[in-house]
Amino acid sequence: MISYLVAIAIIGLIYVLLGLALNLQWGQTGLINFGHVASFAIGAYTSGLLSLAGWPIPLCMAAAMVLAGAAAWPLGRLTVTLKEDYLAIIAIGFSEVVRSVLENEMWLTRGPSGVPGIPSLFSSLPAAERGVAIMVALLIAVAIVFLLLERLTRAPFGRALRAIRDNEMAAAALAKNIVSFKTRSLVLGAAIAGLAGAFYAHYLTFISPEQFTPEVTFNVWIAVIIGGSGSNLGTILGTFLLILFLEGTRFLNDLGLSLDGSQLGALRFMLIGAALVLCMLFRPAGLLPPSSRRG
Amino acid sequence: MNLHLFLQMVIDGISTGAIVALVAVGLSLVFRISRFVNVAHVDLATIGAYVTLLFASTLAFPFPLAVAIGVVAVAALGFLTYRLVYRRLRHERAITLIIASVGVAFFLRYFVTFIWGSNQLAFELPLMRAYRFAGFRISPYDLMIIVATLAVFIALHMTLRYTAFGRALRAVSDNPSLARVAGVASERVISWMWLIGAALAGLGGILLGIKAVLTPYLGWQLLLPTFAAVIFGGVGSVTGTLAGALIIGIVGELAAIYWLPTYRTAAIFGVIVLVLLIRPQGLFGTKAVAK
Repeated sequence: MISYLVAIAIIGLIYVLLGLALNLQWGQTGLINFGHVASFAIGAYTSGLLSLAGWPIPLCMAAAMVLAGAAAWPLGRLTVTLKEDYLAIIAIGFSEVVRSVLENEMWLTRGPSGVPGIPSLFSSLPAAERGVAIMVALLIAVAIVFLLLERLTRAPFGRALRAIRDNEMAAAALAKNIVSFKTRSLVLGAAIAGLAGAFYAHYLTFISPEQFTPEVTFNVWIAVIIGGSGSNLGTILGTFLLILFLEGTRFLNDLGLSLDGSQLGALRFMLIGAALVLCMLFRPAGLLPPSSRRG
Repeated sequence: MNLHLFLQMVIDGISTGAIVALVAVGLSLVFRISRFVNVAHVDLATIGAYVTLLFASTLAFPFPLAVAIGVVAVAALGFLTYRLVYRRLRHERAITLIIASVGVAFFLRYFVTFIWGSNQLAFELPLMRAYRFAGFRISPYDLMIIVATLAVFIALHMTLRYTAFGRALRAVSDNPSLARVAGVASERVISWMWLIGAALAGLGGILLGIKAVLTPYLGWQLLLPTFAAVIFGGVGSVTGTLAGALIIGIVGELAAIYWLPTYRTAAIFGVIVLVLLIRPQGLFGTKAVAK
């Protein structure tokens, strides 16, 4: 039971990192990043493959952040000057291209069969304690990222991002360099998602392209939106609700429904889709919206 | 490079492009009148294919009748999503509508998975020998797809250009409040546009189902090519979208042969990036779409 809870907590914390990253890009800056999973995947593969090549894990994780951030940079330069719809679709395209590279470049990623045997974090500890140690490490990482983002939100940088989100023309008139601010927000968010990917790889010790489908992106989206776009605390709450929902629906069959595994999975995503629509219709600000328009 | 093979790929690319064109022009029309990229548009295409499968295979209706039912069902469904979701959000920013459309897309895609499962299915159509001419071959189904698309495009072009409805549509999409002042019933025009746009998506999905296999991701695979065609052609331009879609279809086919089949997506993505870099308003477009 304890190990089950630890496992859920670890996945939940990885989703919190992804959520905080998206909240910076979408909640603070208004960038519709529908390709979030790409940064997650790049982080996971970078860290996993480098550690297999013998690099020490902390260095691998740093490299994961750098590479995931760097990969988002051209995306930002290309699209942030265009209409918001464009980034949405281009980002989906980007994540699909990343996935097809993972599936096809056998020499690097071993293709669809995935990469097994990635060194685990804290591999010297016995299995049960290893899980707890990873959970603690993730808690620390989440705390650091959370504090950093909260600080950033109050700093002039955060105020500029929100100014751009709310009224781009006015921000430009105040001589803010829109492209630079948006790109930095996108890159920083991608680096955080890359870190989440690195934790994922060194926790599961096995990664494959099918773990990085668009569904991951939209799970994170629903968490951020339900919690309250723009609020880091709201994002954490939203992620908690998402995990509760994903885990809770495992037990739907106990209620007398007789669904097979794939039907259950499908039903889950139907509900997530419906929740996204209902949220937009009735509570677009989420459950915990930013308390006030700070700054 | 083998010229014969190259031209054969062009022929194959045209039939894929024709399907993309149908879906893309629907997306473009809806964009023009509702001002957001309806991500769920491509999942309407999936629904069209599966409804046709239901009537043709499970209920043993004649295939053309099943196709007609599929198209009508998708038109109704598209209209329903407009009334239930997008119409209520019409005063919100485009971002809100796009996110809602992702929700709709997810709901539709997993509804299909829930009912039909995620395995590959196919229409039960008789196998037909490919026509041959001058050493090239084309399957009767591909030829049918191309002819159907051309007919639809000619009808659409005529309607938009020469009928009262077309004028009303252009008026509403250019300036909704001015159109209302001039006595154009904009709500009726918008409703028709959603019906037509969704019907085109449904037809595209069914034709793709004839050419390929049915999976819940049938429409999703079309998202990038469709968007690429719209960008290529310029938003709102019917003929531009057709030209864009044909080019995208051919590029996809060539990439599949000369590069790797699975890098079709990457090639199309590359085309989008190039077009955006060179001409953000689309190669054939007249109207600027960049804000």
